[in-house]
Parts: sequence; C-alpha cells; structure tokens
Amino acid sequence: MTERGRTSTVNRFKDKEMESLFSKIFELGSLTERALSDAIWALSHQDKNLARQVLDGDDAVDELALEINTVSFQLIARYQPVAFDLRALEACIRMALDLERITDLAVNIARVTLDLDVRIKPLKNLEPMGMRVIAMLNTSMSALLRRDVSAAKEVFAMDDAVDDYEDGVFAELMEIVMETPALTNGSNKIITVARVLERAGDHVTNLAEHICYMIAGNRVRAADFRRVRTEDK
Amino acid sequence: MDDVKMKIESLSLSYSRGAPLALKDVSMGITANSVTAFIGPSGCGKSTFLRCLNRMNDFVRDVYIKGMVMLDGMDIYSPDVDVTNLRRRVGMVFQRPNPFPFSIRDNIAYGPKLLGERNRSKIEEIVERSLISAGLWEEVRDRLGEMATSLSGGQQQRLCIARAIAVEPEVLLMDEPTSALDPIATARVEELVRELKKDYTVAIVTHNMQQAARISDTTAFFLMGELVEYGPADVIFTTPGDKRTEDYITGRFG
Repeated sequence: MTERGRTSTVNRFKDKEMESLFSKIFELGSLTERALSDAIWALSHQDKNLARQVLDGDDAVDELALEINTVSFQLIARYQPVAFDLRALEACIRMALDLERITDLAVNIARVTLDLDVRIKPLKNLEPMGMRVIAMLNTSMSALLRRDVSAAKEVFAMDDAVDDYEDGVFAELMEIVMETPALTNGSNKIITVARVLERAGDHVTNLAEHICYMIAGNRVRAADFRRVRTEDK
Repeated sequence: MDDVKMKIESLSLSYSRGAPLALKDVSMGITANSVTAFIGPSGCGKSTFLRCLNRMNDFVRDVYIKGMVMLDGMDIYSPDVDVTNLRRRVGMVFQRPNPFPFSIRDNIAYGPKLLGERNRSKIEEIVERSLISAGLWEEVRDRLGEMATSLSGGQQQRLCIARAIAVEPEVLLMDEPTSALDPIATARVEELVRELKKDYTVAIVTHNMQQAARISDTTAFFLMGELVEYGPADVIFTTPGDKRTEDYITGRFG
C-alpha cells in the first residue's frame, strides 16, 4: 500500500500470479475430468487403448498438482498472504491434492478395464454414476470460476444420487452373479469401480468444501447438505 | 482472563474547531494482559486513538475530545484526574528511540526518582529489574555508566521500554516502536512485547501488518477516523468480517 486510491505495483504482481495459479487449477480440473470420462467410456465400451491412455496421462497430472503446490508455497513465502489470499492458497493446495486423487481413482478404473477378461453386459447404473461424478466436478469448477458459494453447495446434494447409483450397481451385479456364477470374479472387479466412483464423489465434495471456505470464510460440512440416511438416524 | 483494562466509549476527536473528525464515535475494550494492535492506513486515526489513552492529545491546542476513556472503570478525562499519575499508570514508547542524554542507569532511574524514590539500593534494584524485563540486562550490565546514546538503535528502543516499565505502569502504549529498527532488532522487540503482556496490558500502533499478525491478540482496523472492525487477530487475518478490512490487509485498497 502506497497511497490511498491506488493499488501498488507489488499487489498487481501478486494478483497476476494468483490468477495464473487459478488457471493451473482449472487446467488440472479439466485433465481430471478427461481422465474420469475416458476411464468410464473405456470400461463401458471395453476400449483397452483408451484405458491405456488414462494410465499414460497420470504423470502429467501428478506434475501439475506438484507445480500448484510449489507455486502456492512460493506465494506464501513471498507475500505473506492474509484473509482471502490466504484462504485461496490453502484452497489451491487442497484442491490440487483432491483433483490428483480423483485422477488416481480414474487410473484404478482404467486398470479394471485392462484386467477384465470376461464380457459383462453394460450396467444401467454404472455409466450414469460416473456421469454424475463428472457433473459434480464441473459444477464445483464453475463455482470456483464464478466465486459462487451456492453453486458449490449444490455439489453436496448431488452426491446423494451417486450413492443411489452405487446401490443400483450392487443390485445389478448381484443379479448377474445369481444368474451366472462364472461371472463372480468379473463382477467383483466392477464392484471396485463403483466403490472408486463413490470415493471420487467424496473428493469432489471436498473440493466444494474448500471452495466454500475460500469464498465465504466459514467452514461448511457437506453432511449438513446431504439427505439424512435411515441408518444415520 | 478477559478482564477489560481500558474501555473506550463513543470517543470522537477533532484537532481544531470545525475541522473534520480525526476519530468518529469509537468504542472498544482493551483486554488486560494482552496485546491489542491498531492498524490502518496513514491518517486513519490509529495514533490519535492511542494517544487518547493517556491524554497525550492534551498538549494539542484547540483539540476537541468527546466520549469516555476508562481505566479500570475510572474516567481518565474527568477533571479531578492527576494526569502525571495517569501517565505513570499508562506509559508510552515512541516511534523513534528517545533516550535522555544521560547514562544508561540514569535513564531508567529518572522516572522512579521523579516519583520520589530516594533509596539508592532500591533504585539499583529497579534498574536491574527493568533492564532484565526489557531483555537488555545482559548486554549492558557492565556499562551502566555509559551514555545511553552510545547504544545501537535497537538497544535504545529496548532501553526506552525499560524506562517505561521502571515506574511499574499497568498499560504500555507503543506507537510504531519498531519502525526505525532493522529486522533483527524488530524481532527482539516483538519477542519482548509478547513477554511483557504477562505483566502489562499492551496497546500498539503498527504500520507493519505482519507485525500485528505476529504479536497481537486483538487487532483493530481504523479507516478515516472510524473503527471499522476489531477482534481476535486470528480471525481478522484469516476471515475478516468487513470488506474494507479485507481490502486493506490484502493490499487491494482503492
């Protein structure tokens, strides 16, 4: 701060660097979305080439996440940020971690596709489950872009549907195994995919929590926005 | 723990008749045994406010002060208040170290002597205790007879702090006490301030936002004579409540 009514040069530099950090988060977000949608497409279409591409893309994601961490720490060291700036940097570090974890989960799905040696008929619930997680990811990224807390909070309730799809996948696979016990092994692998997608949904929920804190400064718990499940009552 | 040492109610101040208010209806409490920092851009009223707490503004001609400042429930602007006694209870350390042109020992002994202390060994004891509290004893114990002006800037400022606490005040006011010091001397004074709050109530004006973040328990943000917001430093520096505070501390002012 030099004079009133004028933003000093130092801060314009800081703002530019923060902006470029955010654009790295968006880049990571789109790489993550790509990995997840490719992994799901590869599984439902038995496209082993595409599954291999998901595996290959993981290194770039790890590198970008690491870069976001490094840059965030540099900004903390150089500018001693406070208030929004500090919350934003915390959010960037944590979002990078969650996005990187989601990509790891996409890699798990791709591995299942590569391992799968039997043909299981397409499940009604699995692809929509994946699409739902992707929709949550997109909603949280656009909430981040628009600094929109209520949009970020929408993500929490969207996770309920992911749980419903997971239950649906379990039921469908149960039926398959009853009909054709030989598919038990393959079905177990698909179950892990449902589990993995459910965890990806949790990571997206974390993203939305970080975004809410960054924007509004108060911690929100996703659970407060979720439907109350009978077993939790 | 949360005893209010000083309570300020609707304090307004103008430096001359008809001039804009330098303080506008400021109310806040200063908690005992804690560090309260006042921050804000130049001309925001933070130093004026600090100086109201021991009536330093009385020296200003035509000053107009309205409202109440209470020390342990006593209105310090009440006509029957002995201002010298008030300033003993509420001491002050200034921006630039201002040692008297005496020896180190006499700088510390000056206040107690003025208050009537004649016992030499008692005075020696006060000199030692004050210098120990100010973290200067080890550096000057063998040269108490030397001129205070021979000390480095950082040492001089700690000497001034020792001088202020020699008369056993209850509240210490500090007006940008490190702005003339290098980073190492600054760090020593900051460390000292945090030590001092065990025995004193400290109120400090600082231009250095990071300093306020490092040493204050409560931070108050002033803007154009107005107290915009005050609260725990942890809250002010992570999630300030007012947009103007946010803009100022993140350097996005204007």
